[in-house]
Amino acid sequence: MFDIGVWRTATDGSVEETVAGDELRGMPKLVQRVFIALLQESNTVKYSFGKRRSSGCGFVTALRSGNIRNEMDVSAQFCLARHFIFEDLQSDEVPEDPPEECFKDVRYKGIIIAPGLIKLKLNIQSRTATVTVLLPISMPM
Amino acid sequence: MRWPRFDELDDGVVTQAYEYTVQLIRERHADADMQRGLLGSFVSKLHAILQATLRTVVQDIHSSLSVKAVIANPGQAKQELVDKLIENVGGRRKHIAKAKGYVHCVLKWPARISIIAGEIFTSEDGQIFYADNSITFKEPDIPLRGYDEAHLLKSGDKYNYTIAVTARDGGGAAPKRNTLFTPHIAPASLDTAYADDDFHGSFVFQDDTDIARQILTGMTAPGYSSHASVEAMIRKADPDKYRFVAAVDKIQVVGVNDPDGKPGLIEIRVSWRPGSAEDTLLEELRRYLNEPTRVCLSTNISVVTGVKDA
Repeated sequence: MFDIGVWRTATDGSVEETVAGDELRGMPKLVQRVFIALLQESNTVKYSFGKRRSSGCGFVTALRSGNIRNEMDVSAQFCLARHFIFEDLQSDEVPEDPPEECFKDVRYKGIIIAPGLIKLKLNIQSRTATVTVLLPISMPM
Repeated sequence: MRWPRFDELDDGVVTQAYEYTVQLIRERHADADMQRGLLGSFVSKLHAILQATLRTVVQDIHSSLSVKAVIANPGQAKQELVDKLIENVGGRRKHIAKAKGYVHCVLKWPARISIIAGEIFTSEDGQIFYADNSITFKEPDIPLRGYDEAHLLKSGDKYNYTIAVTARDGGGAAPKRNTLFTPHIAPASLDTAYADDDFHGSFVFQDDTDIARQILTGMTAPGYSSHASVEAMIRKADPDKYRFVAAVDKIQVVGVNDPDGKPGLIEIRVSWRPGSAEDTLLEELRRYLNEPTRVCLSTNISVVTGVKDA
């Protein structure tokens, strides 16, 4: 099963936007799912769409608040969000999913902070592989 | 009309639109993952919300611009759209309004009476009315000192004064002539207080169902739909019941769209045959045009003036 891509993971592990609408499968698909779960704010989807579970976390909300000043702040917010990412991703999975698309873990490995930009270094694990990606996020600093 | 906000749609409508969207994508792309990811979490959901917005608007229009639909399901009609519906037939929704009128107070002996604006008068049926203006009534032989003073009027051995009042609440039954009133602060010399004439202007808010029924009745009843129909309506009246039928000579109808027409008013000018009792006939014609079966959609239509040279 494929998903449409809006992010492209480059060979150096950095993530770029893409407008190509690539068909994503395997690990890149899982990476995109982690990003969606991380970047979606809580309570921004008002409707149940047949389910009874709200998705999203408070990570972007915290970044947008402007109170993030250093690496420790980002690390703390990511740890708070991690639980919700687990909940989001695992609840969407079914036993028939291929193991390389099944979420196992996401860990915070570090951050690069520049004016107006942070690059989040994440270690994303599926059941069969691990990939380290750099996710750039523009934010008020 | 106001479009619904994206976050105030019905959950059931959104879910239905979502399931439909997912089904459509799966039919074209059986291999697409609609369970999770960008397609499952965003594209299909955002599309469903837009689709549900459209469905809601279409449903609102269906529920509000059909007279039958408004009557069948009044709760689903949108007030603003029903207003548009009645505009199409030249009508206007009646809004809640307060009864107004005059209270006539009779005194047993002359005394200075000061009324303060807002002073309370209670009608027989318990409705509260407030005095419109502050005014002082003086005995006839005492000179007036200002614009807010007036003399008591002498009638036989009693004295009286009249004050304008307005109901506190809109929509109550308008008191009829001679309805008794009780002032909140009654002067010692007060004999009685009653409605000088029928009160007027009281309306309850006209709901959507009432408007729909009015339109339905109006379309099937003889009414003011055109100049010709107005004239026909007058001429076809039963001559045994109405004497004006035989006495009417010429009829001229001045509608809203005529050069000298006035908004909300249809003026009917009638000339009578020689020797007719004009005042009596005019009054009879007015009563005929105001009968309940001759429904008009605005309260200001149905004025008749007896201009002789039509």
